[in-house]
Amino acid sequence: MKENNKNHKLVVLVVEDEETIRKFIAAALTANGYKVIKCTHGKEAIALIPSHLPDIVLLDLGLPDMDGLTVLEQVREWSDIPIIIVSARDEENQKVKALDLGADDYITKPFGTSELLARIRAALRHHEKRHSKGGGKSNIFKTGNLVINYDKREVTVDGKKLHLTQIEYKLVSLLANCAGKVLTYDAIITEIWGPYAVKDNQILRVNMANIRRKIEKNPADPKYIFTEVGIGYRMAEEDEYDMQVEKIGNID
Amino acid sequence: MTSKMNKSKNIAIESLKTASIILGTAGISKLLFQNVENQSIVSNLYILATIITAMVTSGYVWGILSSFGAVMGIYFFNSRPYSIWNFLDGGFVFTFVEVLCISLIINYLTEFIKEQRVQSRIKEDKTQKLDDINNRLHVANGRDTIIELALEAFSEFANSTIILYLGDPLKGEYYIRNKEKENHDKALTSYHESFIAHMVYDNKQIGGFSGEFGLKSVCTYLPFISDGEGIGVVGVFSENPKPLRKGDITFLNLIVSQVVISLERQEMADQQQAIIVESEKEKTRANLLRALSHDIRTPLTGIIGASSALIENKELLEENDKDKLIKNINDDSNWLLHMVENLLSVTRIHEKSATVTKHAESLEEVVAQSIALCKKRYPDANICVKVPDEFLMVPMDATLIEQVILNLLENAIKYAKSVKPIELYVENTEEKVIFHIIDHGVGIPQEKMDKLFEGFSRKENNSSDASKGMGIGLSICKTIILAHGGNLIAAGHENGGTEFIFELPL
Repeated sequence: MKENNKNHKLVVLVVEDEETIRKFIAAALTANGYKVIKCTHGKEAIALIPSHLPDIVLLDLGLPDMDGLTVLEQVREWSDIPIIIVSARDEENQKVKALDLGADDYITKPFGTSELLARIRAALRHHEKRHSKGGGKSNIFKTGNLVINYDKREVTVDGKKLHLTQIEYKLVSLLANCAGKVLTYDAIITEIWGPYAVKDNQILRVNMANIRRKIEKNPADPKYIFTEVGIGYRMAEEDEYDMQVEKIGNID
Repeated sequence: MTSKMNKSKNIAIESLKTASIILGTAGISKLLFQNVENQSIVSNLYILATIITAMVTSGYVWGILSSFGAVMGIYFFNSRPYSIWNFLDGGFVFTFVEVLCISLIINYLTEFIKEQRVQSRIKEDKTQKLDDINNRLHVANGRDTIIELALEAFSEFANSTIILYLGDPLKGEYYIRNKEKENHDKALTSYHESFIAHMVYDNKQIGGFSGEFGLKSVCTYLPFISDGEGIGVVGVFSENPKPLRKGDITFLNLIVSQVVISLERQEMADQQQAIIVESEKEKTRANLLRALSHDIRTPLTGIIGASSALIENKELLEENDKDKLIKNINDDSNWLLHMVENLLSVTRIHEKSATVTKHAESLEEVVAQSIALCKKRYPDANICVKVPDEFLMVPMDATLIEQVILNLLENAIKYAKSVKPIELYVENTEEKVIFHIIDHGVGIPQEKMDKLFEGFSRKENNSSDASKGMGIGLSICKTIILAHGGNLIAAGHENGGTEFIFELPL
């Protein structure tokens, strides 16, 4: 996996119009071994991405010249470069739209350095996985004490085999495939129930509730499948569980 | 069956009365006046008999029969031999006609008097009822009560189906009181009818069937006029084309004016209430702003102080003093953030109705997210959580409820100073979900308990820094929960510590 080594620093494009925020992000990233390119407008970003080919983009939604979502849309037409949206707390609709348009993740203002770095790492890791030589998934997924064996279509927690329905298994393996990434309700429904399914997420909620009761010790304190209320679901990353125990605080 | 029986019973009684009177008279004449000179006594007696019969029986039949009987009686008393020629010759036909006329006149008078008596009793009844309703309207409180009473009054008095419009009939606020077992809703609410009602409302004149306009209508409409302006219309349904009597219209208008007075009174009371509510809101808003500026200035003072100390005295300060100052800046900033988030929550509450927009959310997901947010800010926090086993969807504004849970958890973490874990457990009944947040810490003294949710009355609060804005947080929590239709209370927990309990309706 590409790491922050001396020969090749990872490049981050920071699209943010507020000066103080831009400066602090740049400072934090540089201190952690990333190379930072800054810009303040959407048009600049659209031009800079193909010319500089950064490894990851941090995109603020509230840009002065155009909607961040438009930038996202345009870039996604030709690139699957990892893009993390920066948004404010109450803008759930924006976040959902962004994710559905192809953003990889989002981070909510105000945020601390550690959270930012963790998201960037996670997004880069996923991108890596998608493009790695093996062509994708191995047949085993493990996070904490949850193990999914894709070949046998078996899910075990703490060594015990779980009885999941067809739909439940599909949901769990979908989330595991995108572990660490938040999937919106619509994206999940389209994937599992097809593009013509009714977009009422009641049936999804009920399924997730049942899954939670089978997988988690305490459904109100989940360790494997996290809910982003109003947005969707995210499964813990393959080593995220251990990191969680060390309290680096990836989870949100 | 019974009415037939009643009818035959009546006929039997009446015929008995008639017969006994005539026969009685015959008997008396025979006994007393057989040999008296003045024959007219008997005639007069029979006439008297007819009069009495007319008075004590109902209808004209018995009186007429009695007249026959009277003439027969006079004839048989007076003449011998009995023959038809004798009858016709003796001028008895004229007697018959006279007696018949007398009987008919008496009958008519008697019926008339009876009718009058009935009428006057009905009128009295109506006046009594009207009085009663007027009294009830006088003290009626609340628009719905007034409408109920008005419908009752009109339908009882008019004894037919009633439709009551408040405001312009074309705008559609109406109430229908159907006469028992009938349902005229469709006819009453047709466009034709509501248009007529609208014209009555506009012109402030009686209309429909009994009035101007000459339109074909199933109702008579009376306008409600207050201060020269129309405020409604009442329609009295009538099945067959029979216009209301003038007396009835007058009575109905009496009820109308009473209803108008009550509505006016209600309107004034409502306006007064609205003014009081507005001024309360103003007071609250002013208090909130005052408390806020205090609560925002405090952390800002800390931030400005610490940062300027760093800027100006960088070289002179010790390393760990510098670290302390920087940490203070961080803490105060987080505090400000907390304050701002609380404020933003308030904007999600609709100002006019003090309610929120609810969506059904998964209870366990909201709780999980709140706890995750809390752990992000306080990674060392020790929180124990339990939710009901069944999967529950609760209507709520998720952002706001998360804010409340966060606020309560943070208070417990910061102020309870307890080693034992903080408990958050949720239980449910058929109609509501109940959240408990319990800490086993130092507890809150009784004096503070009462003012806990007020937040803004800072008059005697000198140690306000110790409970740095805990007040505002709690009062906002309470506002949020109230806006959801629930309630938030605090109680001392056994073994010291505090328990906050709030409910959300399902």
